[in-house]
Amino acid sequence: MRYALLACLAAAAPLQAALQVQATAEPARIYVGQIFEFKIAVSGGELAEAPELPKGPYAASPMGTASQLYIVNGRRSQTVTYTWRIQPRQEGTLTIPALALKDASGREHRTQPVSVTVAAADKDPLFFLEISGPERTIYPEQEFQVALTIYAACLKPPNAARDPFPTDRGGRAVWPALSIPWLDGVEGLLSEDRDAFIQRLNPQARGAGFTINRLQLRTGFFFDSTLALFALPRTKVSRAGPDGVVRDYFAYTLTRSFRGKDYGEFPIGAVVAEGYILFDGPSEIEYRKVYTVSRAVAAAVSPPPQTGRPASFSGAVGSFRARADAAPLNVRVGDPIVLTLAIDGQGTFDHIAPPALSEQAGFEKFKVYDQPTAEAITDPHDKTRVVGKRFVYRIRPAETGIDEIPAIEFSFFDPALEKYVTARTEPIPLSVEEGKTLLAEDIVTPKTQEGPRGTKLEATGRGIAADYDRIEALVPQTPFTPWGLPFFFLGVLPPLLYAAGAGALAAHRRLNADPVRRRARRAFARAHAGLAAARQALAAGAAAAFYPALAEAASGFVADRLNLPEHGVTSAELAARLAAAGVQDALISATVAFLDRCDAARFSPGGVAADAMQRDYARAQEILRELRRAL
Amino acid sequence: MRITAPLLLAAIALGAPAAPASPDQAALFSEATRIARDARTKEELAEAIARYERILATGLRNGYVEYNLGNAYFRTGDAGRALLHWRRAERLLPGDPQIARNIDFARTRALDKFETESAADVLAVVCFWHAWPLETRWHGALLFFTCLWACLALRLRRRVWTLTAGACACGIVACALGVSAGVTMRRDALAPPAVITAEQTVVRQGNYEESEPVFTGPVHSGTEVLIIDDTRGPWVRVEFPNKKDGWVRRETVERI
Repeated sequence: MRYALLACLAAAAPLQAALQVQATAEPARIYVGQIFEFKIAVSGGELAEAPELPKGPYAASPMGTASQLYIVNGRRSQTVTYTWRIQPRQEGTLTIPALALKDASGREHRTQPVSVTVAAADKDPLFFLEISGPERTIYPEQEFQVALTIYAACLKPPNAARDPFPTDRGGRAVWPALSIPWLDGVEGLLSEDRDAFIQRLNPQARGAGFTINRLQLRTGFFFDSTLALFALPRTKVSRAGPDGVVRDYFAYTLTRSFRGKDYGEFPIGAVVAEGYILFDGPSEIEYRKVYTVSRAVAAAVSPPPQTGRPASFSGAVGSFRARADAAPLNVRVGDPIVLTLAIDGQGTFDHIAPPALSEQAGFEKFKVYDQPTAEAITDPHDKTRVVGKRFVYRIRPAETGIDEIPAIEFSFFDPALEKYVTARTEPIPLSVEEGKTLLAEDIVTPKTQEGPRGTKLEATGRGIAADYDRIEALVPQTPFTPWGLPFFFLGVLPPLLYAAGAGALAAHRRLNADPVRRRARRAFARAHAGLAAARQALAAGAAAAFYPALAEAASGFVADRLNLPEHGVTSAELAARLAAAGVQDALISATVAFLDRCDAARFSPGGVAADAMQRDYARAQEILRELRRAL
Repeated sequence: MRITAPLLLAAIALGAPAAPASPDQAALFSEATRIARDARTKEELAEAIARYERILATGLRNGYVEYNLGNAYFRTGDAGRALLHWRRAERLLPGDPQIARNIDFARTRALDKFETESAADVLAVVCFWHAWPLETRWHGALLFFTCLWACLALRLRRRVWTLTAGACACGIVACALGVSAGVTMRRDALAPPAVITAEQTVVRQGNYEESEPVFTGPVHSGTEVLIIDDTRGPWVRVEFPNKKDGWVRRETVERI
């Protein structure tokens, strides 16, 4: 059971991920000339290549691709929708057959056939539309007009001058509503700006007129708006209606200009009019509802003809002028010249390729680099509007005797004349001297024209830098030598200083490491301190403090030097240790006598005179000096 | 005091400005720069070159004169001598950006291209500092060497890990720069750099005219080489950037 469940899940997984294609059309019922949208939605995978519609009794233009991503319960799925606008050419049932589409793995998937009912428009003899478009193939940039004429049968006198449309109960005229699919422009064609076109039709909030595409007009009170009314130009004509009967009609006309842009066939949708009209009844004026559709038109835009195409044709279609500038104009053989070809005029500039100068007459005397930089020339007042194109070439004269840069030929197709035209620039006078400096092209950077604003300039990294000319710089210099003063100061001195410092520190530590030697080394400092204390007691006349200080200084010095106990050393022991240390007997006797004198004075009941104390102080200094020499 | 005084004198001598050029040298230099600036022909540039060379013939060693002389040679189309004098200027004025730029430019225009071994390329990336000027590497090594001893001296008083780490780092950097500078100095001493100044010359396997050529074609002016044997009379053995070596006539190559 468990394995069966796993098998079911495994089988279901690919089904979830399988590619699905679905074709739809909307609306499913239209009149001849109207446009419907045909869509193919692809989900669960990707097609190997975009689908293409088969040819049929319709004009189709692709509208692009839309992609939608869905995440439901953590599951991710994507649907890609391909859309076409299709305009049937005949009434009946239009069936778009099943399309075989292949996914990335080569597996074929088929859409289901889609049918759209195309009904013939009503042929009302009292109200009908006529539309005229390009009667033949046009070229890019070639202008043509689409003219819509609305015919409404005139009423009989005395209402013959009245527009044959009713009014509502408020007395406001109710004219038919027009649906014009090409109001917003047509894919693949150029046209006047939509808003400018609508303003040219002079929309009104009040009065009488057709409504178009339910366009609204703001009335100025907050956000109030009302349907815009278009009182199209009206003329009275007498002609035959769809039923062949000649009548008087009011003809209301609306004209819009288009220009070819891309190559191909582009449907211009039929116009639909829906509303009410008045007509003369048996006894009085009556009204009835009308719904009518115009004929459909399409524009076929083809590339310029092959016949008569000149070799210098650069792909430009329109009407252009060409001019050239160059700098410098006094050069030597091999010097670079910046040659600028500027093209302006009316037309599209996107696909203009730079003329190949090396293939043009007169340029065989030059070395030409046929890959110029290209930049757009914009309107100084509107930087977004491209009014021309500039190509910057680099050429080099290959020989002397050249007296001009020849005229540059620039061929384009003029759609107004429907023929190829070749524009030529003026030759530019040039002076070429003999090339006396070899490789000069790499040294001399020509003065070019000021670069266009906003152009990113990059450093060439070429050429050599300027000479030095400062006299102050003309001083003797020596090449680098590694064994100079920097080496002495930075390479030799630091380790020497380190060695000296480290040695001193080591000696210092070694000396301080033995307490006996440290005590002996500090003996004189301690004795000196004792003498200082005695001197203070002497100044104060305090004999009781003076003599102990003197005795401490002398005995302490000997004790420190000979590593004897600090206290409790008798005079005899002291004499014996001094004798053992090799001190002369006279000094030993003097030292012992001095210490005895200090003891006696310390405990003398009558005190000691100041001059005696002064003498004893001097004696102590003398004995310490002698002991320092001896020990 | 006995040590301080000589050191002080030496320091003053080191920082003292060098004696200025003589009036004749200054006049020649001004004249040469003016002629070079206004020169439109090869002959005019030759006059400027002659003046620069007269300055150098007086015994003055000056990087700016060498640089200007290189510029003048380059403008006459003699890329070999231009590179030669720029390299000489570089020795006197290490780190000068204009000289470095011209040398780089001259190298990009060299007619002869030699493929270096990939191991050398890797080494050039790993030991990136080896491409720095010799003076920079040497003085850097000395500076870090001093820092090393300073860290060690401070560490005598107080042993902290930061001083130990600092000493190690300084030692490593000083060692890297010093070894690199040492290698360059030794190479320059054993195999001094030179430039091919003849318009083109054939490199031969041996030091005689009938010897087979080393390369499929001649080498051209501006090719940088190392002189590895300069003791064979009219022939000089040189090594090329691709480590190939051969013999060329002495007059076709000039030592930097």
